[in-house]
Amino acid sequence: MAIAIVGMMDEREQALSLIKERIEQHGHKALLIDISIGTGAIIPSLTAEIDHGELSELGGGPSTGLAEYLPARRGEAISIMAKGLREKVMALHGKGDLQGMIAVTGLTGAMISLPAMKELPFGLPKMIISSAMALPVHANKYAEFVCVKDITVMHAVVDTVGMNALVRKLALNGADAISGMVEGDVNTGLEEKPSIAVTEFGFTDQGAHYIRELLEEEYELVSFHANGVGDMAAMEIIPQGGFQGFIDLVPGAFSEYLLGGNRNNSGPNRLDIASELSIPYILCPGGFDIISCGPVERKDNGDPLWESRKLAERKLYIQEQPRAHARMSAEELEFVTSSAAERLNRYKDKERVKVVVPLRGFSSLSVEGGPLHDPEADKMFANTLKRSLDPGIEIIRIDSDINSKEFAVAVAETLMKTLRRKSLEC
Amino acid sequence: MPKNPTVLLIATLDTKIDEAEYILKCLEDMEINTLILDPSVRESGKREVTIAPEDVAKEAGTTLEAVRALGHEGKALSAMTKGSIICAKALFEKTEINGIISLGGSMGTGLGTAVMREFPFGLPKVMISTMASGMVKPYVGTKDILMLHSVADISGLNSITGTVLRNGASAVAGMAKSYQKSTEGEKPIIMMSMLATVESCSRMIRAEMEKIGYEVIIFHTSGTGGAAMDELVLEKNVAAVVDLSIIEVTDFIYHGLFAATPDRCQSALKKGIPVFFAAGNLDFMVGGPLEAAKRQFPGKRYHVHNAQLTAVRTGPEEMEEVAKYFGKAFSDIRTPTEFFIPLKGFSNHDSEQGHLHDLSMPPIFEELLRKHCPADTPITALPYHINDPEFAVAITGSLKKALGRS
Repeated sequence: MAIAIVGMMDEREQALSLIKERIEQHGHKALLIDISIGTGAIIPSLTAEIDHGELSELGGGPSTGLAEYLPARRGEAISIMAKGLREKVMALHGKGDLQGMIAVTGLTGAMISLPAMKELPFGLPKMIISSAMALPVHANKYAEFVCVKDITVMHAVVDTVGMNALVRKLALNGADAISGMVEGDVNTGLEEKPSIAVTEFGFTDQGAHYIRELLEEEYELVSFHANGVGDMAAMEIIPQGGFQGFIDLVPGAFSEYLLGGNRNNSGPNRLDIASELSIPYILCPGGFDIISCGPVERKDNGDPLWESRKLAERKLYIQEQPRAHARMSAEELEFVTSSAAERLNRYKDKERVKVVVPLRGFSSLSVEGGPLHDPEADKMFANTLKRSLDPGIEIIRIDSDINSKEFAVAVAETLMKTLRRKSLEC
Repeated sequence: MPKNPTVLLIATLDTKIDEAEYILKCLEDMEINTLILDPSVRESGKREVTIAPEDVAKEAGTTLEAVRALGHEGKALSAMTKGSIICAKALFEKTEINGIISLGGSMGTGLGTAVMREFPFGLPKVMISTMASGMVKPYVGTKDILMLHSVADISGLNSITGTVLRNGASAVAGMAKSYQKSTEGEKPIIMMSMLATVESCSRMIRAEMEKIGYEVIIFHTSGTGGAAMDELVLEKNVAAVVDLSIIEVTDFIYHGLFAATPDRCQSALKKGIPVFFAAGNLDFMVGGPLEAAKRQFPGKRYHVHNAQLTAVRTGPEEMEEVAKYFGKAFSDIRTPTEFFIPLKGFSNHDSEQGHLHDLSMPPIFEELLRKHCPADTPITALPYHINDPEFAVAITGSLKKALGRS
């Protein structure tokens, strides 16, 4: 068992060498992996256990390394190295040889290392030290990897080339942190209960709280933040199994994608998370009442979303900067609902799929007296559902709002009933 | 036997009591002493803490009741952040703290990292956060914060949150155990800014200065690096500064993507330590994807660096603004300084192999800089490219002379 240390030895050999030394001082085995796309190691005394040529070959490049690809075919060299590293790391993990992974990189090295880290299982310590991770322009690119995994990002502040007081502190802190994580018992010591996944956001937190209270005697609830990014994590983790049920309280990322709101990261397949599973899936229309459209300055900037959907003419809820929400119209809700029904109709096992509808508001913003209250538009959800949902999927209507106790009780009971039916089948 | 290290936990116990107690338990298992700062707004008194919500509000110049009465999450957060910073710093003065850990969603991350950013580089800082994916710049700022993405919401203890919290606690414990307050004072420090486009120059200067016993710390000027350097120049004992990449000045003036702070490049001049500038990367500004870059900077030459970034060629107009900027910065010189202009090109882009080469520009900049700077400003134009060895040798020569090492 070893901790993998990943970096370009032709650029950051001194930091890598210090990390290796420190990890070994902590009593762990270190496995140095060189991802150079240039010439490779410079310090003759330091040799990588896994050489850049080996990775290049694994990624489909020449076994002598990728220096000849520079500068013209740099992009290709990066992809080859990233692929090689991913394969190597997964092979090591497959053999049970890997305790943790730490990378020290600039931007290029981050793009090579992150795909491998993303593949490693949740919980296995993984960390990247990089000054490039705080670059706003690359935020989206690296979010693809970090948002679905528990990757620790250490902001390097300085470039980790050469050796000096600051690089020394970064390297030692990084080595101490990854060693600490490896030493920390992976077993959480918590009582293990069967897990139920739930999606929620701030405008449904009271409802989610009640649901948790009702179920926590028997189950632990794992909550995913329905802000678009959390939805991506849910899409990655829930299909991997390990959950007894899934309460999709806030599938708003689906409507945001369809209408162009801010929580749209998860793309068109948001409602397919549970399609292949056999666990109970309870869908509620949380967030189907709003379009997330902040910051509010977009109103005056000829913003395509604000213009095309005429958001300025609607009921708006301007929260503190940069958040703003617009009321979804009846026509939009009809479109969103029929698209959602279409997705659910494709589920093979329909008996385990239930829709619970809170008739008095899909978020705290849309209840009576709330800034986005519009009961006429809300009706469109239940009406459209009735028309377009496969009759094999049960719809439960509750005369209350999504944050009420009554609604939470209905959701919890529906889940328990479906779980019991599942267990009778077995 | 050395005494156990101490870690400060920042957590809103009104909503995160179970998660916070789990972190405390993990830390205690690893023989770490703990201090707790609780900036809760809704409820206080859930357990004994070092700094209670009432103390935080008091230091912010208000009361917890008044903060609640604001009825506005954002305003309440800003008051509690202000108070937390004051309380944490006072605690740090009084007792030894070897690390800081915090956990939270968008609000908690804002507050936790705002406190962490007030602490020195090197002190272990771990933020377990639902927001640690994607855009971390506002949270990490110019500090070495570890952002650990919680993947699931930090709401209740379960197998997923338990694993993440334990990993975060283990990381801060691992670091705190061997954290030493300072490793400074071994070698004199030189701070240097650059980008890959002027890397050869920076590499040569670094090698030369390391040879004679200096440590050279490199900052990447992509919008945070230069600001971090300026901040550390003021904070640390630095022998000299070499500002090889001034793109953050141009981008600040023209709203390019690598814009940093409004007073970029001025710390060393203000502090009065030797500082040497080169017109590195003056040949371009940074725009977004090509289409966006064309919209922002119409009618220019463009070089697509990758799908996210486009280098946009500067002309006399931009150079004049930069010259004016340095003219102001040099208005009151009290320290050895010199501005080097490479007449054969400002960066790799502005070279024979590059896509934005224009030999007519460096002499224009030389003229503009002389026009806007006080007459006694040392400006040196050299018939070389910035990455030519001769150019690095010239800078190193002046640097050594200023340091009394020639």
